[in-house]
Amino acid sequence: MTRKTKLLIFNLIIVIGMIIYFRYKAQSPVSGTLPARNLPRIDPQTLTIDGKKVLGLPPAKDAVTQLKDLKIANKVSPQWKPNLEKSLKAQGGESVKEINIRKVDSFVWNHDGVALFVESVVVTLKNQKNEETSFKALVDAQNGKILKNWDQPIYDPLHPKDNFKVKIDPRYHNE
Amino acid sequence: MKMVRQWMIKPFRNRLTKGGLLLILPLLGILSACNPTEITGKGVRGNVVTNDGSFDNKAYIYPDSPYYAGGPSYGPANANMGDFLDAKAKVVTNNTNLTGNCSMSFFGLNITLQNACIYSLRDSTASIPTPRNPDRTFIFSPNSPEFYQTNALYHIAKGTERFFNYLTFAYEQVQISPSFYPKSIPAYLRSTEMFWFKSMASPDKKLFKTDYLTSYAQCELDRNASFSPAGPTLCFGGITELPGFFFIQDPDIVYHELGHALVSVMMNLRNGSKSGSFAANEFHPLRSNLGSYGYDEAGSINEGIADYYSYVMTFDVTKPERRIGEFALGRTVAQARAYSEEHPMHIPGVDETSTGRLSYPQYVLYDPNDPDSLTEDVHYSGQIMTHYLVALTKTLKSQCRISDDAYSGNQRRISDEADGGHQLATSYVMLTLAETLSELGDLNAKGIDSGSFSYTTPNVYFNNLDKDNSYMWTQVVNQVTYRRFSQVFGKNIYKFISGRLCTDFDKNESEKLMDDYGFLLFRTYNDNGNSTTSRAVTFGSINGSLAGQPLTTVAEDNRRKSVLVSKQLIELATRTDANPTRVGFYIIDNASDMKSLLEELLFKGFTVPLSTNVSSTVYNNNNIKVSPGEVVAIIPNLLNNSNSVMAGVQLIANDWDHVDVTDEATGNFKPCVIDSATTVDQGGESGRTCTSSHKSYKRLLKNSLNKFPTDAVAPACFVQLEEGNSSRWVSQNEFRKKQGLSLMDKDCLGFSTTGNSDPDFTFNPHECLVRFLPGASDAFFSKIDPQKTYHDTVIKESKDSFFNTGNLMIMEVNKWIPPGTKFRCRMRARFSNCSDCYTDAANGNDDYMDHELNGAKPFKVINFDFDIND
Repeated sequence: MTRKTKLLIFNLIIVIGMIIYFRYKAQSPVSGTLPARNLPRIDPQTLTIDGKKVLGLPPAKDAVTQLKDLKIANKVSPQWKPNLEKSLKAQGGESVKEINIRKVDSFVWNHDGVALFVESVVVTLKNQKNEETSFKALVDAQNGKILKNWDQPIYDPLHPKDNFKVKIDPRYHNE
Repeated sequence: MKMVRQWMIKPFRNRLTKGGLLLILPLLGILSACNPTEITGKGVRGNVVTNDGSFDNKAYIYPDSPYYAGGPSYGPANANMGDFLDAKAKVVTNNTNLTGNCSMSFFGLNITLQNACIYSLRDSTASIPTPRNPDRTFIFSPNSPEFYQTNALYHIAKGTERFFNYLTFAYEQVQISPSFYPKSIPAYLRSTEMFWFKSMASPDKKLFKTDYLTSYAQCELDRNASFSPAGPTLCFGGITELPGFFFIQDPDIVYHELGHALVSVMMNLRNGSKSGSFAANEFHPLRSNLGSYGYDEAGSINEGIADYYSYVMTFDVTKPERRIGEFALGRTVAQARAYSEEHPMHIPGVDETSTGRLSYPQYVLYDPNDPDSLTEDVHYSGQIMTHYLVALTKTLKSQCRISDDAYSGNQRRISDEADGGHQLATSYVMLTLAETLSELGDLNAKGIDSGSFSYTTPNVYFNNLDKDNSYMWTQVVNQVTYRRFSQVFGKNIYKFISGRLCTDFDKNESEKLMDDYGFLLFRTYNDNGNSTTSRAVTFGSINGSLAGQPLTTVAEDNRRKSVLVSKQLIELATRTDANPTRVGFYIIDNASDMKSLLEELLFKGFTVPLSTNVSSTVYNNNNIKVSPGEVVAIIPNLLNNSNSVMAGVQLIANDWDHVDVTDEATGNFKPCVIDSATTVDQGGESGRTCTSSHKSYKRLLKNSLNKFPTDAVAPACFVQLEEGNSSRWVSQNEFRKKQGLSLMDKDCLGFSTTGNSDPDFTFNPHECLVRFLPGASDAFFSKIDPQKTYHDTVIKESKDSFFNTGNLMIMEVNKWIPPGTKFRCRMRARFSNCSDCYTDAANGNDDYMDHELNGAKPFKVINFDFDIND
């Protein structure tokens, strides 16, 4: 084997290695398995991870040890916001004129045995009649999935009979 | 003081001759030319104020509804509020713009919130409050936007200030009560400042858009007023067809909306906590709400309290026939609401006697303005709560006594006070409300404290299961109903009113009054203080002073109208020969109705995240069956087999403890044998974890160890797997892999739809094929008459043929499911006047512990079986 051939094989191995590496890196993690991630910055004084407060630690154990043991499943991605917007549009359809998502907090939420970076947001929507509505939601900081939704408005219509209703299909009672 | 104020409306005008007017008008013209403030409007001949300082921060205010000031036939089109202004200018705020401050006193120590706590703006396009005039007054031209913002601020600040006085009274009375009294209003409220909208997830980050309450005096809403806790905002709209009419013109409505805001504050008093003098304040990341979409009893109670607050603020002993919203609701659509049975608007038979009270559930659908029409709505049902609270106030006025002074021991009735005892009696009621709501809404799940601070004993909770799942408990699983509310409210009357402030109003009287309203729906006050997971752990375990709390029972003799019914008598309706038109469940699957419903829910603030890659309304085929890919609404039609009315029927289809997880790697499970519908032969399990209910609530998700927990709750729906000649009920995860479907995670319902490369760590593979959408997995029905279905009782009787949104559960169906696949969804039902849904006969009729609500015992299981239609 000539030196040139050896160099060619060496380069080929490097290139193949790089391709495998980058393909692996780009591959999505399988649902439910934990992605490799950089070591989080744990602050034992403030009990934060990467500067975010951790909520939902079982109170029985030492908090600092728990923080060190905590495996956070997701990563923070700027995509959470457009994804959340997409999800709201999927529900609201053409009635949605404007969506405003305002982040009010970020934290780590340890819930159902899964620790996640989450964003706490206030969503304000405007419909085609320019009427506004606001509510709060907790969303996955990576994929924008809504995990909890609360603080919905209370409407007092002029006439209670103005409330939205759904008609029974006449086929049920042969009406 | 130097003042020329010549605008005294009609009386003044009547006294002037034409000649006099001729003399005065030029003079007014001269004065107004050099004066910064001018009021113009009907009846206002000219208004000139030379402010020498005595008018600083003042404005002319309309103190009451135009209905009273202008007469019953006044308005509502083009109302001129300039006609109804008080002769004397009032201080609106001491700030230099239309903002208000909040302060609350704690045993004489005044705590003022650092920043303004109320902003009065025109609508959501505005963000900067109107500054006061250059002459340092807030006197603006009547009917101008600034005029309405000024009046809005005046009334909101007045209502808020009164509330803080009530809360001070409540706080102090609760804190000075004996150390063996369990207390919910926390001693550390001063530190957390949760007496206003100030919840934070971390000390420097707010959980609201703003930490002040914004009022939009003329917001964009048509035919609506609202309170939005997310702002927090109050919004007073108008009516497009009635230009010049605005809800803000009626102070009754202002106090009603403010009442919702105050309910929100009281529900969250405990959601900031402090565990020691030097400990930092801790805030729960979520907040409690009272009510959901459509009809439910939590929402009805909220409306009832909001009406009551309007009564508290507008009570006038000279106007016993006063109703809420005489102008804004009455003059527009004839929908003013009464506060008590005393009002002649009620139908014959409704009066202030025990038998004539507006009782539950008889009057839950009652519209006194149109008594022949039945409507399921929180405002109508809420009238029962308002009437009860007003009756309680009146009773306290007539029965309670206070000491003349500290030494003589002489006592007099509070009704002898100048205001007829209104202030004191309403203080007692507001104390009871604050103590009750703070317990019900406690997301820290403790309910009580250890002395002056939140206790730190780990894993011990006394209400709402635990800190992680408390939101689901308060909103869904153990949501506030008339039963839950009245039990806690009754307990607090017994402790703080009968026990201390007004001993003449004793437990018997309280129970009788509750029963008059049909609210004596409980057997005990559940006041023995056991934890959510163990009867052996009690209040005494974390606070020695609270050891040995007795279980107080209701005197059964007092239960005359509050009829209790067994849960065994509720079931899904079936078609029979005698009832050939009965329907077991209604399905709505036409695309346009479902799209409208989803839009409506979103604009009511309820997100129901759709799995758009495998399910959508575009697949809806309107065949009133469940078909692949559809998003459908389900309305189970429940039948009452008893001879009494069932009321406050709640049906939930959230994940619950009804399976035995057999495999940690896959999370696959066997459904527990709970009833005769699912047997061991059909794949059911009757032993193992099926013999008890889990102490915690954990969804069936793969955890950080890549395993499924065996003590998890499972989705309500499972599926029938055909294997040769036999079939068994299995998890949807097992089915999707065994039935030749080979569905990937990304092709499942509930998997994040943002793109195939995104991971989803909250994905539950056991709801891959059909699932009730999160946020739309429970339904509520006002009442079911004896031997009738819900449809027969409410829908047919109302001649309406419409369901309200509270009746609906929304299900999505995976487009890849083979037609013919059979599903069983186990829903759980209970109702407010249920005799065996809440108390455990094996434990002296003590209430079930919260963790027992994980399982089947407190509920009647309703099986919803269906095939996927082709």
